Amino acid sequence: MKRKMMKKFIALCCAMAIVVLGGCGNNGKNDPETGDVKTSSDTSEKITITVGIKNFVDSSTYKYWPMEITKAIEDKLNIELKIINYDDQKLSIDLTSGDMCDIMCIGPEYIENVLKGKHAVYLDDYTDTLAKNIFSDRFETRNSIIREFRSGDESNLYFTTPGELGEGEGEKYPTVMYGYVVRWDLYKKIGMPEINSGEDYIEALKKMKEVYSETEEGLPVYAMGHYNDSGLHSWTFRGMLDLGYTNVDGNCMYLVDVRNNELISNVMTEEESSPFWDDMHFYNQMYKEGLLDPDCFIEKAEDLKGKYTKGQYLGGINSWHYGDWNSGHADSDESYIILPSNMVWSGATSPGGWSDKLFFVSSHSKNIDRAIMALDFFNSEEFARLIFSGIEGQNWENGELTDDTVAMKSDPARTENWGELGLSGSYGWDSISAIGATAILEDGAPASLWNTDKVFSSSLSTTEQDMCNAFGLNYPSEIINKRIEEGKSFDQSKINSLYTACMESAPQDITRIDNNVVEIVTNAIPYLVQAEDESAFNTVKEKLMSDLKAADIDTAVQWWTDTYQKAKDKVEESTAK
Amino acid sequence: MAKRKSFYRYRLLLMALPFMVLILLFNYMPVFGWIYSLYDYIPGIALKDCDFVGLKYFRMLFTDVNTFRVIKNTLIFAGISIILTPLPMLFAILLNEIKLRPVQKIIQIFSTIPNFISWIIVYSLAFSLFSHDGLVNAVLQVFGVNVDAGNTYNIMGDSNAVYWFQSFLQLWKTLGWNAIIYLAAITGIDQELYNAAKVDGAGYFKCALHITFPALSETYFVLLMLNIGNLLNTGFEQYFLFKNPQTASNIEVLDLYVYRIGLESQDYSYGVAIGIMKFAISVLLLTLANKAAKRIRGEYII
Repeated sequence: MKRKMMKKFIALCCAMAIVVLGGCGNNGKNDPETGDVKTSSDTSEKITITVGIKNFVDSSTYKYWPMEITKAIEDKLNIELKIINYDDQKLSIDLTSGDMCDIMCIGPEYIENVLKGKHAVYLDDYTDTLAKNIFSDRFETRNSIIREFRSGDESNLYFTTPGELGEGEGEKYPTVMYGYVVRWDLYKKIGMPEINSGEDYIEALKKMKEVYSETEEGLPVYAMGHYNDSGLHSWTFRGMLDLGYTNVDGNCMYLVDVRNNELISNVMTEEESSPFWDDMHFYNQMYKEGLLDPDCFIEKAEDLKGKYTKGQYLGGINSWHYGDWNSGHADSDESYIILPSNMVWSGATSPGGWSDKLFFVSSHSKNIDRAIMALDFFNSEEFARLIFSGIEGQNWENGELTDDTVAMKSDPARTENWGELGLSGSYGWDSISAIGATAILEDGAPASLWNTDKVFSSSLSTTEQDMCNAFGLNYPSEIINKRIEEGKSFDQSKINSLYTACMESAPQDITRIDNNVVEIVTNAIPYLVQAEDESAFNTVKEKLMSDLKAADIDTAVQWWTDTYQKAKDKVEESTAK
Repeated sequence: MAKRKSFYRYRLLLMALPFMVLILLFNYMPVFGWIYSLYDYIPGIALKDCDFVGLKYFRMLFTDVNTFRVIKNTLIFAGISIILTPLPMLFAILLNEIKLRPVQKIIQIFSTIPNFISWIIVYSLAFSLFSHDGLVNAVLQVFGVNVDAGNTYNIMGDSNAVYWFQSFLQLWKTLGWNAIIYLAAITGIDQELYNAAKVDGAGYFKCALHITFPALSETYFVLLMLNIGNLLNTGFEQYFLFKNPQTASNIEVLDLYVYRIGLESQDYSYGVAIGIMKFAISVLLLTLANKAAKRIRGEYII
């Protein structure tokens, strides 16, 4: 009796194993006899397509979702679109289980995971059927880079990138994107001194603090604070941009000079002249002047936003943490604005797209064809125009935005309408569109019709208008062109983004060293910034250097230098061909 | 009849079964994950396709300069928490001496509530209280201490104060809750002992010293020994939230280090190896505590 039951049990287990293993094999797309891929462009059934992106605004929590732009995408593809926010932990779990979104966006550090784990659909099978936009001439450079440097040992196309901008299509913005942040009303009060360096900026902030030492509520006012929940970023960002570098890694430990495309280690080499040490001296000076928020080492991004909202800061390092201050002061001249520094954020092209964002269709998707159609749509000119400029006939006509759309953006009374429209800028569509905002489309106009001088000058806030009047500008970013002409600033037009796009991802041994280095540097920063004199500063610096040597930073620096050089050589080699 | 007898025999075991299943699922099943420490594991790739590296990550533990620092921090926090273990008992004794029941209840409720406040709220409260613009500095300025705004003091950024400040927060959060078990033990003490003591002329203090305290010592020692066995489980959330560049080197405990290595740096295999090391040390400490219990009390805890 027992033996009979055991036999039944074993038979049941075998049956279950066959069913389970059967499900693990080919997902049924390939014809087993011919090897051809059967595709279907049938969109009659409405389905849900999910897109998973790291550090993105989740559609389920976004106030205006689904916006008019979302609905236009959904109508076009007959889908319900959902954007899912991912972090590293969720991504690792989903990669392990295979239970992921139909379309995923990963960083290059996950390429091995995706390719070896066979999680991505091979796009070349769909060249002439569902993925015509992906394989269009526009993306020839991008696709060849992905084939050569982002496909492991193969030369297949599994990924696409967003933000492609070809030659002559360099980035352009209506306002100054990065530089010296100032409260405009206070800057005016101190006589608008020209700021050309960190020292000038400190002087200006000092004078601003003299005229405004506490808020109307009696809270103390500081020049700036910092967010300590994004690694080294907050402490290394200013110097990097001011001195003309862009980062290769997320922590700004390895930088590329935008003028000559040379890689430097921010902390270890080029010592005193590196942006890191410039930053440390800058913040040390601010500390000595009593300008730095004493809580700057314990604050997180949310604390920073809270203090900006209360008006406790005079300046800053970027525009991301103003909180509700600017929107609450849209009708006055009390908003924060940015004045240009040495390097201005404009002019960069990206023929390989944004190399830190790689989209792929999950091989586990239940609707692979429809997911490929969606990804292909993200690679189309139609999508780029839609997300940057809106719906044709409603928001733009004949290559120009309608007056109503332009008015809507700068009208504080129509904030809700603007949110409900959901163009790129109010939602992060630009991280999904394969074509960048300043790309010129087939109709001869840029993807973003906001990128014209006429529109730039007609959608200004009160503060921006005031700034333009003060400097004799038509729109704020015009100051950039003036400074470049005067030789006071330079843009990013000389940087070759292909070099970084072609770099291989750091192996775990190097990542481990880098993470340890970041921790050591992070912990040393408070002591460098709060050093009372030059000798104390140098003592901390020496200790930091010896700690970094002990953490084997030389191995990591060597790896980054060699890898960057290798990528550079390969790009130059293929360009020469 | 025999069947019913058999059912009764196993009834208690059956009642315990769901809990045994839970323990199996959440305490024993994860032990299979230890195998990841022997491979260069990459999420998304089947373990069999990952490189087998043997004891590489265990060897790395001995060359990693952080290992001894985080163990030192963990032991200091654990040591302080053990030093503070009599406080819930003393609090319970004092609470028991309040004869006005409503007052006793109010104090007990207010001291127990912090246990249910999440660490993120505690962090926000601490930031509002102790930051340079916070309430504590404002009050000090009102009383003429630190009049100059530039001289304000923030304990959350003082690396020398980390151990005691974090232990104080932990104590504030758990004091009332941990006192409950002692309050329960006090209710079990025979009232006749107190009556007899009072007849002999003992006051509140002598009753507490000669009756309540000895009666609670048994409970205290059992909890103390269990705490020693649990020494390295100092927690994660509190230290994660209060970590900042100024306190990082002193506040990083083993659990936080495992999180940083395993999840933040995606170095899963090494993270698992550190976890195994923590387990090994915990087992060692528990064994020592058990032996100490036998020597002190004449019987093992486990």
